[in-house]
Amino acid sequence: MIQVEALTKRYGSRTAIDNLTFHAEKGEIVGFLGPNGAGKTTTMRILTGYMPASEGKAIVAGYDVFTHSLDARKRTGYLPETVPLYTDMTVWQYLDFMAELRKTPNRDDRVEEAMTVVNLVDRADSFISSLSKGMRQRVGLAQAMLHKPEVLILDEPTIGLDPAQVKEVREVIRELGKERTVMLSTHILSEAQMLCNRVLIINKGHIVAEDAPDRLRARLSGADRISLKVSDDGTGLADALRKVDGVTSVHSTKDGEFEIETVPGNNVRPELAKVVVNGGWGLMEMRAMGMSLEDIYLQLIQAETAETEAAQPEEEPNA
Amino acid sequence: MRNVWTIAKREFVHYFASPIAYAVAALIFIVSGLWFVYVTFALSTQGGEPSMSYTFNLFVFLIMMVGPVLTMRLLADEENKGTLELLLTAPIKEWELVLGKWLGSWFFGLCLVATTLIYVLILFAYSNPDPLPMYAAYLGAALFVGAILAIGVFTSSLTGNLIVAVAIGYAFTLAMWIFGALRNMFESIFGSSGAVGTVVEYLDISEQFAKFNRGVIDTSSIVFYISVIAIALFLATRVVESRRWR
Repeated sequence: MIQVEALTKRYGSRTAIDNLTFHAEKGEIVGFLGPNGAGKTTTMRILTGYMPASEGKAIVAGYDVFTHSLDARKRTGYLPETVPLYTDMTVWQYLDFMAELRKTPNRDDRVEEAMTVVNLVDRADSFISSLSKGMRQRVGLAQAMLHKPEVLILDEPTIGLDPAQVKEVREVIRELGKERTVMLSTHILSEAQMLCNRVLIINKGHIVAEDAPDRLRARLSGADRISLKVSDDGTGLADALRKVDGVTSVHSTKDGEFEIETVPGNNVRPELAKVVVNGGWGLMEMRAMGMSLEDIYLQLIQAETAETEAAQPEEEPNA
Repeated sequence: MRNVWTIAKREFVHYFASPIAYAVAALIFIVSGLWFVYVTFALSTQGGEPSMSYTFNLFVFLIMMVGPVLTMRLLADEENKGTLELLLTAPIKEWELVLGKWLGSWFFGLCLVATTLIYVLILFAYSNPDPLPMYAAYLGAALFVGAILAIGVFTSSLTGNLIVAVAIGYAFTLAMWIFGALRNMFESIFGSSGAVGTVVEYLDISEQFAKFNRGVIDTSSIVFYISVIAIALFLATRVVESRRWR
């Protein structure tokens, strides 16, 4: 559905994206994760035919976005980062105009349907200028799916929404992702974790990691971590825990609270519990601490940044 | 072509929802109305033939003054508000966008031209004017408005700033307005048959209209206006296309 090969985009001497290669299949929600300026929007603009790449190839819905731009655009729905709306139009007029531009059949039905999905039917005759930011975002989302595109490209779809709306919009995206290809960019990590089948972490124009959120976590954490809490200050407990087979390190975060690292795949929790109880410490809480996507992200981005800085230390100030 | 129509329709309707268009229409109504009253009164007291040509002369000047204002937002605002991204990622070609924008504004311009029909009705009600020059003048006015607005569409494509779009628009239209005046200068330099003088005269957007206003339908004048429209829209299309490559 989306096939990107060695995509490169340069603005003058600055390389915005560098040799990007990835793909997304039908029924897949792919998250594009990265700090500001990493090249997310640039990539999306290339995929939607707004700007050309300097090098490389991009195929969307079976059409090359450079040589068969119109065919690719027909099959793509796009929600740009700043939702572009005609504020002098009503919601209905705007969606009808967009549907007409996209030569959507049964326009009225489609507009109605899209408004229903994003829960805007009761605001159909409101002028867009009078809508809140969250509602505008929903109008933008409705616009992107009016023509039932095979590929949906959403640049930060939940930005600026309140928590209830975020939840709604995520629900919509998840629903859309069942039979389409959805590519969304975000810097909200929990969002990527919740929504996406696959996450691409991008930094400074190239992909630093690509995998399912769970697998990324497993791959990068290296060790299993357990958090443990006892009722008193836990004097002497750390030493007792270190003696358990499979434990690699123990450190106390504050009185009565410990973080234990163990060899991966080796479930030592029953053993740890036994040590605590037999030793007379009151066990309050014990849980496995997965590495959050956030940790992974920061780890990757920092490693990457350190690497490039070490390689070209004098270039940074000018960048 | 369906896309052209979609865009044109939206732009045309937009004018009727925009205060700028009403302000512009009011300006034209008031100034050309007063002028019409004054000229008609003066002609009748001096025993002249009743005529629309004086009113038309002022009318096209007013159109030239308001043209860039009417077109300033057509592309500049899309750029400014980011909606150009929406249009350029929809399955629509750049020329369709530009042509649609111009057509929408031209239809509105024709509405402004049509408002002068009320003066014609008044003339016919109280006197017996010659209708033939009026046909030519209306054809000329329609073409003139089209050319001014096409230049406006082009200057609107150059920038995301409305004021800049208007200023550049004036630079082009006013320059073409005074080209005729340069003719005398070129004639005295190059002699009376100077080719440069002829070219400069041909490019005079007001002199071309004056021919229509005298009741002359000259093919070369029609070609002139159509060429101006075609070149301006072609350039605007290239500018919009260039956004993809910058």
